[in-house]
Amino acid sequence: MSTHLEDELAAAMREQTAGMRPGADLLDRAARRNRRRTLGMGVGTGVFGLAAVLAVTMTMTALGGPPAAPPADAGPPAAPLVLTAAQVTERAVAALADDDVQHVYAEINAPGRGADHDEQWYDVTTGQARRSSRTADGAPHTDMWITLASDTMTSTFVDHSQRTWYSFTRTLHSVSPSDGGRLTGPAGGTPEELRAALSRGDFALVGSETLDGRAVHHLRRSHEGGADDLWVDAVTYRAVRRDIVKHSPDGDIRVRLDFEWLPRDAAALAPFTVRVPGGYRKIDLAEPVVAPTAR
Amino acid sequence: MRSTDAYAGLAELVAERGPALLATAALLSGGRAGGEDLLQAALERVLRSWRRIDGDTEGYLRRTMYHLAVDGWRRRLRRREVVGDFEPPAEPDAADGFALRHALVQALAQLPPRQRAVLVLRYWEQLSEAEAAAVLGCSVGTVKSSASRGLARLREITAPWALDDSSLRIGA
Repeated sequence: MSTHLEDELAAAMREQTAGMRPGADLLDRAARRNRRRTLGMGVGTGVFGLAAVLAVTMTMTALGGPPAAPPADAGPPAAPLVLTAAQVTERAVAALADDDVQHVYAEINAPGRGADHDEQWYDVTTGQARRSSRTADGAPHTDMWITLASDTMTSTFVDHSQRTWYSFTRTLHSVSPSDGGRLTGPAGGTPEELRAALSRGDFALVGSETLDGRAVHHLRRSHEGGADDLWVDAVTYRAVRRDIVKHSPDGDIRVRLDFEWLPRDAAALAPFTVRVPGGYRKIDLAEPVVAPTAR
Repeated sequence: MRSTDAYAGLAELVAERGPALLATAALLSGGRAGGEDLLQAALERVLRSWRRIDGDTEGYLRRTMYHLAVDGWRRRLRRREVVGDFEPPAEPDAADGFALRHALVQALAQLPPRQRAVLVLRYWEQLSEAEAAAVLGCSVGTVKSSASRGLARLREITAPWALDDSSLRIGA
């Protein structure tokens, strides 16, 4: 006779595994790893090793895998195809430890709002951030800088549509806990957030792909609320792109973040310098702030 | 020499039964990513042993997954699943059933591999104690004791939810 705990456990197993599907190339990956293992053995086993290699090569052919020798014009170098999701995840987390400056292009599509495009910079070392938006025809629309000092955070906002700007400083203890501890940086794209997402351990390896001519590993996490796709460079394991889809009653909200990781030099730090164009009017925050006009 | 279509059945098996196999692997390994790794490792073993497999390929694949999960596959892979803290909400409501079951699966991932494998066989695969023992290659007594210890540990871990045989089921 089953108990409530056993019933709940069985239900939990069904719920937590519902909708799981293996990556499309799972069998190919297994065959490739098996082939690599056999090739390794073959080096030291003479004729028998060679026979094993031939047998596994035939297996690969039967499974629809690639031929043993790639074509001469294979294009960009293919990513290694023998890694597991766990290995890619671990290396991607390790790659987040560097102190490079993040440069991120963000595209946000929300139902009824169309697409918003932002360009963002984030200095992992100091927490400084800058966010710029442009109009559909490419003209500057808004600029925002955030600078963190030991116990203060200064925000400077420039509205190019109104030719105005303002700045204010808050002490850090006045920042709401609802900020979630993430004060600055591209939402969903800071190293801390990428590390947290990867550390959940539930990304599956979709496979190795080429993204804009670059060899990458594609990781995916699907859940009830949407999906999360992450591409990491096949050599450096730094994040290249993250696509987040969140289901909402009004339709899907889609966020795409394209990452660049810049060495922390003067050129990379230049965007964090606050620059207000001449002739712009400074707003006294005691007066109502007019929202920027639509892009 | 084997014909080139000798492995076609395996590709079809993965295509048709992949989701169910991955679900089992994810439960055995404690997470989706680890599950895919475990399933991939088991497939490698199947490819390696293809000539010796006679008939029930899925059964062989499943047994391989269980043996890998119990016998140190994780140690070789050095894969550490991240299991978060789980606490019941201060004021449980009808929506907390999902949270409780999530906590149960998280707790399952913390069990020793053999206990976890036994619970997956018994409550996911719905196998009898004798059938579970056959899959794992151990005695029925070992299955009984592993299941008993595993359930006791789950009950202990989820004690804050006050889940026992007589309590109201949260979210039921």
